[in-house]
Formats: sequence, C-alpha cells, structure tokens
Amino acid sequence: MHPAPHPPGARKPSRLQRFVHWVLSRGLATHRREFILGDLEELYQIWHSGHGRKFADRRYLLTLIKSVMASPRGGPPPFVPNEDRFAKSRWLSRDFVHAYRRLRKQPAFVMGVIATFAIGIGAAGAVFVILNQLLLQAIPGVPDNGRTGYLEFRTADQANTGVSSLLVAELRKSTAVFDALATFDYVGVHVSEDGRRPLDLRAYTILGDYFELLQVRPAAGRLITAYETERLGDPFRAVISEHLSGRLFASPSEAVGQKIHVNGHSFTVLGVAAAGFRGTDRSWEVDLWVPRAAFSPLTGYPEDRLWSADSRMNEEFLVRLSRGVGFETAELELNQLLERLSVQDESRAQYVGQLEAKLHPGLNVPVALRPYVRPVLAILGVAGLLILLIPCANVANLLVMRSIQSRGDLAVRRALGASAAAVARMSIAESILLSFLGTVVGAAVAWIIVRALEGQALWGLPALSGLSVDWRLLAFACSSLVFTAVLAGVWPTAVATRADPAAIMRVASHQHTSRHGVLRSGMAAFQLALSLTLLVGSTLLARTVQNIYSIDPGINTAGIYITSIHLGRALIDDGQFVALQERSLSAIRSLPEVQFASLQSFSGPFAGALSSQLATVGAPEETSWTETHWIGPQWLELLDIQVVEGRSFHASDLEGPRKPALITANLADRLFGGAAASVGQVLLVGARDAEEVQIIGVVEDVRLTDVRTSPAEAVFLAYPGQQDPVTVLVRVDRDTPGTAGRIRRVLELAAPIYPVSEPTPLHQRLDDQVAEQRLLARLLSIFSTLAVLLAAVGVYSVVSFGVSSRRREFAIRSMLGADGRRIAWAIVRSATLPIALGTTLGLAGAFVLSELLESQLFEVEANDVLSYVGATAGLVLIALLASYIPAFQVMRQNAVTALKSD
Amino acid sequence: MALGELEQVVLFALARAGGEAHGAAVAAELEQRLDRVVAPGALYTALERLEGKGLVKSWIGDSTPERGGRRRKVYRLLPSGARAVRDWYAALRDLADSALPNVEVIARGRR
Repeated sequence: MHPAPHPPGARKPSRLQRFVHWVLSRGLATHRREFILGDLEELYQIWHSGHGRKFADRRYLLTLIKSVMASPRGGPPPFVPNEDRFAKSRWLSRDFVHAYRRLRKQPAFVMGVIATFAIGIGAAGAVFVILNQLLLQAIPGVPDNGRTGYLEFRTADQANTGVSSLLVAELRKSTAVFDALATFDYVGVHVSEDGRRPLDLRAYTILGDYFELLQVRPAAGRLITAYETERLGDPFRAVISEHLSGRLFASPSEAVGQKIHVNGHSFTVLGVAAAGFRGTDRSWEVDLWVPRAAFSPLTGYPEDRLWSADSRMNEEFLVRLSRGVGFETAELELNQLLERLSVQDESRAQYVGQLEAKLHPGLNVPVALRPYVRPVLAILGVAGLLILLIPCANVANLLVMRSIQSRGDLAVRRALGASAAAVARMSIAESILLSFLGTVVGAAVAWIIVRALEGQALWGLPALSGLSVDWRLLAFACSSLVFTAVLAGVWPTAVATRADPAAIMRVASHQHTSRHGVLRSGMAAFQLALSLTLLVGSTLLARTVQNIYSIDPGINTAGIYITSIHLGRALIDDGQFVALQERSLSAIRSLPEVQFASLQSFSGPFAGALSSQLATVGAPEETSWTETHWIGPQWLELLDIQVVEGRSFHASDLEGPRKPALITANLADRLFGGAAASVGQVLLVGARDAEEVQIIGVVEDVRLTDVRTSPAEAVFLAYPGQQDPVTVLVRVDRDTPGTAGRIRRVLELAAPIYPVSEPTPLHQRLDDQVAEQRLLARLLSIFSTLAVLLAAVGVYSVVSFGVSSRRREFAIRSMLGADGRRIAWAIVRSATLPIALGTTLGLAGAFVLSELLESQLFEVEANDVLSYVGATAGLVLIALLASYIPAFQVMRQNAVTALKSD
Repeated sequence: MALGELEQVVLFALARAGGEAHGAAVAAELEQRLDRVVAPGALYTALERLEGKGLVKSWIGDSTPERGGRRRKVYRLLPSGARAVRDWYAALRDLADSALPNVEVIARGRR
C-alpha cells in the first residue's frame, strides 16, 4: 500500500503488521474507513518525525484500536450531505462504471474485441454442434447409461466373424458380466397393408433382450420380448417404427393389432417403437423388427441351418454390462468363458477356441464406422481447438496493446495516489466487461447459426434436425476467451504499475518498450502459425477432393438416372420376369427425353458389386475373385464404355452353347496377354458348378465401384444374373427438375405390385464416395479462412501500433526529404520477423496435422510440396498486405499534421 | 445549544485552522495544544454529530500520496457552529469567572 514516491516518514510496516492492521481496519465503520486510515497515515508521519519509528508504530496501532472501539455499528448517519455518490457504493461497482465510460469512448476497439469473441465462440460452437449431430449424437429413443456397447467376435487373423445362435444362448446364461445381450441381423423386406403398393424397407431380425437392453419405450402397444425372439416363439409378430406407422396408418395407436404383409407373409403389429427410433445405426435406418425365427420364412433360408451349431448368422451384438462391471473386465471374462467352452466341448474346440471377443463401449457410432470416424473426429477436434486459440491470441494482442497505450494514464493515476491494486482493478473490470459482452454476442451468434442450420441438408448429408447448442462446449469456449482477456488485460498493467510513474510519464505515451514489442510480435506470429497449419490442412483436403473428382471413371455419368424395382426374396417364374423387363424398358423408352435405357443386376455403378470366382479352361485350379456384372442391352452405349476388341452382346448370343462374356482390358492382359488374344477364349465362372462362358469382346478399363481405387478387373455377362432387384439405368438428353418423377411414375405403372425406389442421378453416387473428404475439406476451409482473417488483423494491429508509436519519427524523416516508399518499405520490413517466425512454426504444425490427415488423402502426399508452398505463399502475401496498409497510411499522411497532433 | 467537551475543542480546532480542516489536522492540533491523543474514530463521531446539528459541513477532498492514495474528508465550520461555540464558551466563561474565586480558595485548602 505504498504510493510512489515514498514521502519522508511514510509508514513501512512489515507483513505481519500490515495483516494485523488490515484485520483491525475491518472493524471500522465502512463509510469512515478510508478517511480514518488516511488520517492515520498522515499522523504516522508526524509521530515518526517527532518521536521515531517505534513510537509511531505503537501510536498507530493504539490509535487504530481506539478508532475501532469508537466506531459506531451500522451504516452512516442519515445526514451526510455532499457525499460523493460513489463513496457509498463498493469499489467494485465504481470500477465497472469507470470501465464502461472508458470503453464507450473507443467503439472501434470494443467492436474488434467483441467480433473476435463472436468468431471464436460462435463459429467454434456451431461447428461442434454439427459434429455432434453428425457423428456423436445419441440415438433417438435410446437413453445413454454408460453401460451399453457393441460386441464383436474375431477370428485368429482378426477378421470379423459371426457365431451360432446356440453359442449366443450359452453366453447369455453362463456369464454375469452382462445383464442384457442381443443380436440383430439385417433383411430387406417388402411391407404393405392390404391393397397398397408395397414399400421396400429394411428390417432387423432380433434375438435376445434387444428392446430391453436399449431401454426403448413403445409409442403404442408393446415391444417384442426376449422370449418371443427365441425359436419356439411365434415368428409372425412385428414392431414397426413410428415413421412406418405414419405411412401405413393414421396414428401409432391404430397400428397396434393390425396385419401387415412382409415378403408375402402376414405379421401382427404388436406395437410401435418410440418416436425417432430406427435402429442403432443412423446410416442404416430400419422400420421393422421381427423375431429371429422369422428369418427363414422371409428369406427362404433353411430353418435347421439357422439354429445349427455351425451357423455363423449372428454377427452384430448389443450388450449392457451389469452394474459395477467395466468394459475391460467384461471383455476379459468373456474371453475366458470362450476358452472354457472350447475345452468343455471338443467338437467345437477348433471353432470356439479361435474366437476372440471384443467389446466397444457406446452405441452412437457403429463398430464398422469407428475406424473412419475416429480420424475425422481427431482432425476436426484439432481444427476446432486451433480456431479457438486464434481468437484468444487476437484478444490478448488487442488488450495488451491497449494496456500499453494506457500506460501514461495509469502513471498519472498512480502519481495521484491510486494504489497498484486499484489500477489493476480497473483493468480487470474492463477485461471482464469486454469478456461479458463478447460472450453474450458469441453465444447469440452460435445460437443463430444453429437455428439457421436446422433442417438444412449440408453437402448431401442427411438433414440436420433437433440441433441444440451444447452448453458444455460453449462454456469451454467462453471460459478460454475470458481467461485470455483477463490475463491479457491485467498482466501488462501489473507490470506497468510496478514501475516508477514519473519514469513512465517521461516516456511519450505512444512509445513502447522492446519487451512489449516482442510480446505483440510473438502473438502475431502465433496466430500466423495456427492459420498456416489450418490452411495447409484445408489445401491438402481440397486437392484430395479435386483429385477424386478429376478421376475419369471410364464412364460418362452425365444425364444418367438409376433406380430399382424390388421383387423381394420370393422369385417369380421366367415368363413373368421377362414380361416385367420388357414392360419396364418399354415404359421408360416412351419418355421423349430418354436416349438409352438398360437393365443391370444388383445395385449398379458405384454401389458395390458382386464377385465370382474366375478361371481359365487351361488352368481351372488358378481361380481369382473378379467383379461380375450382368448387363442388359444398350448398357455399354448408355455408359459410353468403348469396346476395344471384338463386339458387344447380340440377342442371338443367348441361344448359343455357351453364354457370352465381355472382359476388361486389364483382365485380358493378365489372363491371355492382350485383348486380341482374349476374344474366343473360354472362362469358368463360379465356385461350385462353374459355368463356361465365351469371351466375345474386350472393353476399356473402367471404375465401376470405388473411383479412388485402380480400375478393377471385371467380367460382364448377359442379363439377368439374379432377379432382385431389377436395376434400371436411364440416360436422358435433357435433365429437367421433373425427370426423376416421370421415370418413377412410368415404372410404377409397369410394375404395379412392386416397390420402385426414387430415381437418383448417377453422379450423386460418385459424390457420396467423397462425402467424408468433402465435409472435412469444407470445414477446414472455413476454419482456415477465419484463421487467416484473424491472423491478418493481428499482423495489421501489430504493425499499426508500431507505426503509431513512431509517427513522429516518420513525420520528421518525411520533412527531411525521405522517400515515402522507403519509409513504407521499412514499415513492411518490420513485419517480416513475425511473418517468418509464424511461417516456420506453422509449417511444423502443418506437418503434424498432415499426419492426422493422411488417412483421408487421395493421390496427394501428406508432405506435398505444392500444397505447403501454395498455402505458405498465400498466407505470407495476405500478411504482407495487412502490414502494407498502415505503411500506405503513413505514406499519405501530412508530416506537419502528424507532428502537430503528437 | 449544549455541546460536549470534545465537540467544543473540535470546533475550536476548526476555527484555529481557519475554519476548515480534515480529521488528521484536527487531531494533530488537539494533540499539540492539549497534549491529548484523540483517536480519529472518536473524532469523526464528534464531527458527524456536529454535522447533524448543522454546525459544520463536510465534503470529500482529493487523495494524496501522504495518505496512501486515500481521500480526505474536510470539515468546514459554519457560522452557526461558530456562534454556538462562542455562546457556549461565553456561558462557560461567565460561570468560570463567577466561580473562580471560590475555586482558588478551595484549591489552597482554605474555606
């Protein structure tokens, strides 16, 4: 509590004395405390000068005690005229009012800080909401209790494998680590109510405590119990989703007890699942749940094989651990149980003994997707953290500069007697006020962005719904920025207040110490480093997306629609099937805009493919799994695939002794040494009862599945290979908004009793293959754009501050005849150090981030020189431009005006 | 108007300081003149009572380094206060003058 400079005789108590005096002073009446303590300070100096220090100390203590004893209890007397209105209020509110008055005079500075807060909190908060919705959101209708997860079984070579229903039952009753266990298997179904066109849907056949484990509640009726899923239960019972109940019935309650037809079988609706629940995999929504025993009638799979000991039906499991059991403990015990079971029964020792159980906590992300989701989350988590750090650095920079600018003002206050604590309180109050305003605006920005995103389907992804701001993440972002603001506002003030106020006031108010200049330049370099890290990452991903899109799949996807007619598992006779094909093609070709129409088995291009074992007649034992496509007439012309040798199919080919086949050029090279040598050769297709086919032509290499891989070897056989589904491809010469609807309508008329899927453009399937990279690229590009903007602002503010502190110098130099351009160059050159430092650090950071990105890149290396050079050059250019702006202002300034205004 | 002993000396101290002084100045004056240490707490109690009686008026002054950056509370002697202390002192003096001979006798131990 010593003002500077110390007056002669000023009290210099020890720490103990200060503590004792402070405690005693709490006993003074609040409205008098300041005055009494001030009087005692003055009296102390009189006692000190008259009687020495010891006397003064004693007298001070005694007088303080007497003053405390003489102090009235309660508030000030009612008659206190001319009292400064702030004397009654606590110092805290006085400081905030003062802070408000000071900030009101600097609207640009305040707006800059609030805008930085808004970007840091608003953008980061909104992005985390999107991530949460897309990747981590809890499954609708399934409360998260922390004890549920997935179970998978692996063989010795770590391949995922299924197990028999008997083993599942044995596990359920033999271990206490689970209090619920269930398995589920997908089956495609046609569902209809009487007289309606069937719907092509997905269903699960379930075994065990499925609904009880997930704690799903029924919206109407009841759910299937564990017993009802067993072999002896009635298999023709079903639970439907609320989504399906809305399509078939007026309300969920009306669905209960009704009959629905599933693949030609009549099922009774037991109940409707909770609203929004459509299975545990958000990318594979189901609308129907039936007992495992229904699998055989629905698919034609032999029932005895379904329940046999060597069945491998059950691949996906849900578990809920018993209370007090951890996932690691449960996994260990499960593996020990498998070992015991293999020892007990020699007949299956080889099979069970090789199994390894693996538990995966949580249900939000299916097991198969976790290897893909984890790196994406890691990348976006790092990017989100960076996008939060940059505003922190920017806020710190702004507040530090302001503190330095205010040093003269602070020195005056100190000289007038204000304590260091009082001065520091003012800075804290300003920082807290700015932080509060910035946090409110940032939270509002995050909320507005989230509301704007509601219902939007971003970049081909499922529409975002039920978005809500995650207050935990928002609180984290807010507290980070508030902490930075308070630290940045107080620390330089505390340093400044320790110095001699007179010395500070002798220094021009706009000059700065080299120590603070290094600090500001360091923070600008820090922002540049973070920006470059994000910029390199987004450049690498952007090139990945560009590389994928630039791949020539070998087929022309423009103007092509693809759709399917689902016949269901029950086959129809050949005559009906041929009639269906002809009706479908005839209906499609009746549309005036249709150029080509063809059929294909299975799902069509870019949606997976069947494979067959292939061998030559000359070496039947040398088999290889090869992509196999069954194609109809005009298929090659429709996709613009060229025949490089031989010819395509003719209708007469089907009547020959051997069925015709086409192969790709790369397969021809491998099997027969070239396309010319391939024509006329015979191939064996299939594992058991291999069929002989004759090669009539060779086509160019094409990518029909994953465009990111090399063109696969493929064989093309004449349609049909299987009946379900009937995939129809259509090429139109002019694509209009109603084209898909017209295609669907004519097909529905041609196949009135079968579900027809919505026609989709073929290029959309291509887009789906790059959806993940595209999402990452776009998010990182947004992050990096914001980061670069903030970094540019940081560089500008550092250079601008340096320029303002040297304005007098530049004005004098200009008056002495210095060239404005040389002055401007000197200013720009002053920014080269933080730019160089930031670039160096940023390249190192980019190298680390690129290691995370490696799994997402395609045909671009993680340390791709072009990307690094391009991003660095771009950032350096922007930073130099930002530093040139204040230089340009100096060039244009009037030297006399500048000197006068100093 | 009745004035307490401390109130009287405080008013005299204010008058001696030119009609205006703060707490420390009054306390220093009293200590010097009367060899009496008056705790500021007691001093402000008296001053606030006087202010309540309308004999003095106070306002908040500037802070100074000698006071550790704290402000001072300055009191001014109002005309009513001057009159009050004058009248009270006059009445005391009359009483003292009339009783002084007897005080002398008693002090010498004679009757």
